[in-house]
Amino acid sequence: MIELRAVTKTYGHDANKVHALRDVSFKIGGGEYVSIMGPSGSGKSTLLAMLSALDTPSSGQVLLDGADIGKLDDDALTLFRRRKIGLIFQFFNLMPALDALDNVLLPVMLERKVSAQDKARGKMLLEEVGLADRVSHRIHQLSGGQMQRVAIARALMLAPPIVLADEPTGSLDSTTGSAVLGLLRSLCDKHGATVVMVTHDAHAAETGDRIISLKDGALVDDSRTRRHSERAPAKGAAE
Amino acid sequence: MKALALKLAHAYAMMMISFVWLASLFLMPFQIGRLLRKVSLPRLSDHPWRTTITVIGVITGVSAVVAVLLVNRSIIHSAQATADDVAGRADLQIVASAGAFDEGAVELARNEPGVLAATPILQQTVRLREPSIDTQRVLLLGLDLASNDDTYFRTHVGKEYDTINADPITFLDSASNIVVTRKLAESLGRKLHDKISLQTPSGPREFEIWGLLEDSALANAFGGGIAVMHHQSMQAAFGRGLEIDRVDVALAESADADAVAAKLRSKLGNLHVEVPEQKRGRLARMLIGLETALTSGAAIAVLIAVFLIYNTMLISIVQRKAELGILRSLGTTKRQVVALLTLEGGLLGVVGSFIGAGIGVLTAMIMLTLVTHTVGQVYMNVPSPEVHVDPLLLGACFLFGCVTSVLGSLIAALGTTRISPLESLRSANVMETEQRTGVTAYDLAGVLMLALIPFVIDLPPVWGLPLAAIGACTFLLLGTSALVPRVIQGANLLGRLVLKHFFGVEARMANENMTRDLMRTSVTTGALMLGVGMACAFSMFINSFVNSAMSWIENALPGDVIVASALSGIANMAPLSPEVGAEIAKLGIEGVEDVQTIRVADFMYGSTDVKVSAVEVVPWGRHSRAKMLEGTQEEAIAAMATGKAVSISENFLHRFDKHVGDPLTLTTKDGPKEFQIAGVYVDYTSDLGVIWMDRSTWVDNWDDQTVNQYKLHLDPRLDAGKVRDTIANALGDKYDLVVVTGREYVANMRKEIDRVFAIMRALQAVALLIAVLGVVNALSANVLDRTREIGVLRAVGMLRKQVRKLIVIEASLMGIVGALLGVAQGLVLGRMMLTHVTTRLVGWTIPLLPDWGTTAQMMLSVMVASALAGFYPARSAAQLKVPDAIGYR
Repeated sequence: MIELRAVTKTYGHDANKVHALRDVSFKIGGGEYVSIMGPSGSGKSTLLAMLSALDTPSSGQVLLDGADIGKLDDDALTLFRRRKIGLIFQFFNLMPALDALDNVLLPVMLERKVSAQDKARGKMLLEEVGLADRVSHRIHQLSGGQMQRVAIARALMLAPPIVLADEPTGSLDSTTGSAVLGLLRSLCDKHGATVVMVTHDAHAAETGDRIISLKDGALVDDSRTRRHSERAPAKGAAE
Repeated sequence: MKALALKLAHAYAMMMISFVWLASLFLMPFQIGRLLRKVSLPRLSDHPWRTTITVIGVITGVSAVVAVLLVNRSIIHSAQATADDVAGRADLQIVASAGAFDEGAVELARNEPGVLAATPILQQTVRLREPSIDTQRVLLLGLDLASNDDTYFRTHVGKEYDTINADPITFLDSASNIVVTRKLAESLGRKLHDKISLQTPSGPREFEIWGLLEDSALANAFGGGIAVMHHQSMQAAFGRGLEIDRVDVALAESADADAVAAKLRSKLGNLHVEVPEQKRGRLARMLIGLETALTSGAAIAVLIAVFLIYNTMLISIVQRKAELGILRSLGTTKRQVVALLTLEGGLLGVVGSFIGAGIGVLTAMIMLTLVTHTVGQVYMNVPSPEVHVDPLLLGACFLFGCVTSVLGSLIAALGTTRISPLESLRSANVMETEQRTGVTAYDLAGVLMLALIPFVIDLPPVWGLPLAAIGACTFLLLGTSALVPRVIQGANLLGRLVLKHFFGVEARMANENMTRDLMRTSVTTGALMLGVGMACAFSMFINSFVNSAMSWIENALPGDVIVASALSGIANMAPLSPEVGAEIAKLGIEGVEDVQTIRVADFMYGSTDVKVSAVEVVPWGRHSRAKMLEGTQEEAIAAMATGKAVSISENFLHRFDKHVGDPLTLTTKDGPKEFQIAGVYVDYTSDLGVIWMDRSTWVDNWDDQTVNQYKLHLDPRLDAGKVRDTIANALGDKYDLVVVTGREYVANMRKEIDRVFAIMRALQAVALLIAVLGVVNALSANVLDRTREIGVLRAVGMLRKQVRKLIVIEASLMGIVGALLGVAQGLVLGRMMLTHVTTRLVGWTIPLLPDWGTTAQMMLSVMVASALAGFYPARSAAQLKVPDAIGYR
């Protein structure tokens, strides 16, 4: 689903040249839930920009759902993002001009005229995140946790194969954060999405199956989580 | 090219930064000075474009205000200076109620105890008959150069004036000797004893230059277009007999001016004796229409400049939300941030206002050329007045720019510091939707001002000026401006219903964005509304006036061929000798049914300037129809033909409250005489008011045989063009005639009227342009404000073209709301201007005739211009680097 081949990203020139990513390679399979960790300046945000097709590498290849994003022009990248990637931000980044349902429907609105089925799916997603009674609320009428739930529903609206979450609990208290993480995990499992989550929080990272660690732009660790080990036998037993 | 522009902006910004740096040095002992140096200066120099654009906003606003006000002042100053310079040091002036009078009055005045000196003056504008500058006119003065009396009033200075002093007898002996200003001689390439050609009643005639005037008030009067002759020479050369136009009187120091004036009045009987202040007052009254038009233009410029400067300052502050968040989180107090931003805005305002004042002077020079022509046609000849740079006025405009910049920065800074430091840091570029519920002070003020209009508008004039009506117009402008936020909210609700069906999500979001920062959107939309409103009101005013005037010209002044000394401005035309009529008759053109004469002369009714229009009323009635307001045309003509009655124009009625049947006492050459008012009619000859009488009444009582226009009525089978050519070929050059067909005359009048309104149209264009610039400003601010939001939209899949569409729709919505509000406001304003301001100012009741074509055109142009204004911000928005915008880099 996601493959990085010797990806390097540099900014600036000559003396001011900064290596944000150095020769990073890894693969993430379909349906995986991966956490990316690392201290500030380790290249997490740059990596997330690559994974969300917002930026292209200086060298190497980023393959998302089979597409080499370095070869796409701006419009193609935008359409790719719209259709293949669901984004969840730390500060929610909902549109204050729209109500909760319209925020969820935003990717559809950008794509085509909203149909009755789209509306029904939007409402269903809001119901799944526990906001069935907040459909027509404006953004400023929602709490932080509720806003992040709307953001999760928006990310899943077009059923993208990849969901990227940037510090999704960074602006929430621990209880709300845990609830949001649980919701994200269960919904992505249900909808079969591949999830990549950037986080500082070790506890949050543990909700994933795998943790990729970065330091100074380089990949320093890629390991399975305890949760994965717990889930694997259970999965095996079920099979 | 781009590099050069960048360099220029950089150099310009460096200049401003140096100024801010200097200010910070002075303020170093205070914390604000240190903040200015450490926070503001680096930012200003890091963003030369932004700094330059901010100052350009102030420059544009201040220069517009300076230019309009300077043009206004220069015209009035030039007119008054000419009157003062020519009048010199006169304590009293003796004039007739109409035209010239016998020179015997000079001796009578000289013999009056208390009179120190008295000197005769002849004064008329004459056309230069020089091939290079055929249409230039000069003010020709006939002064008594034989006695020393005139030197008491005027200084005749010039190195080459000595020629006359050396041989006065030879100079005075010929009617062809003249003195001109050095400026005029140089412009014609002439020197002493060269010849210049002037138009006289008997045709073009050459005059020898005997002296060159320089460095005196007299030489500077009339824009330097002055020529002087000995008064008796002028009488001979210009067929003036023994007539003079004025006597200037100087009094002994001990004399009581009022007592001497009273004695002179009793001695001179039918002549007026007035102090120069009275003359100045009359002049001011003559120019009041022009002054009102220019002042209203200046008011628009000021209002729109305020909007523009506020917007500019707002943007410069919005761009720095994140930086301000950091400052606040580091412990800078709200008050310090507000003070810093206000000081910074004020300092940039100082630079902008200083440069704006200079550019305003240059703009005024260009505008003045256009305005001068209008003034010459409509009011009085004021050739090429120079820009009168009034230091007080410039100072006031400079101060206006500074104060507006400070206030603009202050309001914007207060708005910005309302957001907590944390909020500023977290979402530096995100704005929350502003909810405006409940009744606000703006709503109350708006409703109150609109409700007051019906009570204020009909209050009586103050000092003869319709101040209450003008106040009501101001209430309309301010009241509607105060209600703009509410209207935008209403439009937003309507937009929700309508736009969801069209233009996709971009339209929906654009509609919602309108209310995001309601104050900023309201300021921009309000500026557009004012621009469109003024333009719409003026176009309605112009359309109504032009239609009424043209209908008057076609019905009351018809003629198949017109013969005159000039094509337009009948009230200011040089009169023709009556022998022109006799010469036309001698041509023996067959098929000429009537030759009508029209004489329009300045007249003093009491101590007030009005005009007299004298025609042969009976033949006039056969061809023309006047719009009568009191009495019928037939009754009025019958009464006027007896020589005992006159009719008055509608504005004369309004000025003096006279009606049909009232007696009207006019000062004739033989003293006061009573006439009956036989009719009240519509006449657009002059805004001073017109007395209409039969030609015989005028000639018999005021001894004036001259004519301004001959109108020939032809047999319909005759070709007017051929008759025109016959007269022009036979008499045109000799008498300096303009001969045109009736159709050409009407077409030219239309052109002239359009030219009169050119100033208003130019002001409209400036107002609209500035308002549209406001849209660019506001949207640029919105884009900067929503950088993160646009980044997120792009991140979740909005294409660049969709971003562009969103911003352009937003601009269009502002344009649509501004234009619709403007049209509504303009229609009401236009109506108030016509029915209350104009009627009270010049006494004309002009039927309302909205100019729907221009209104629709204007509305459409503003909408299109607003949409176009959105392109630049839209482009900036679409080109945002998404990772930067959402903080991924």
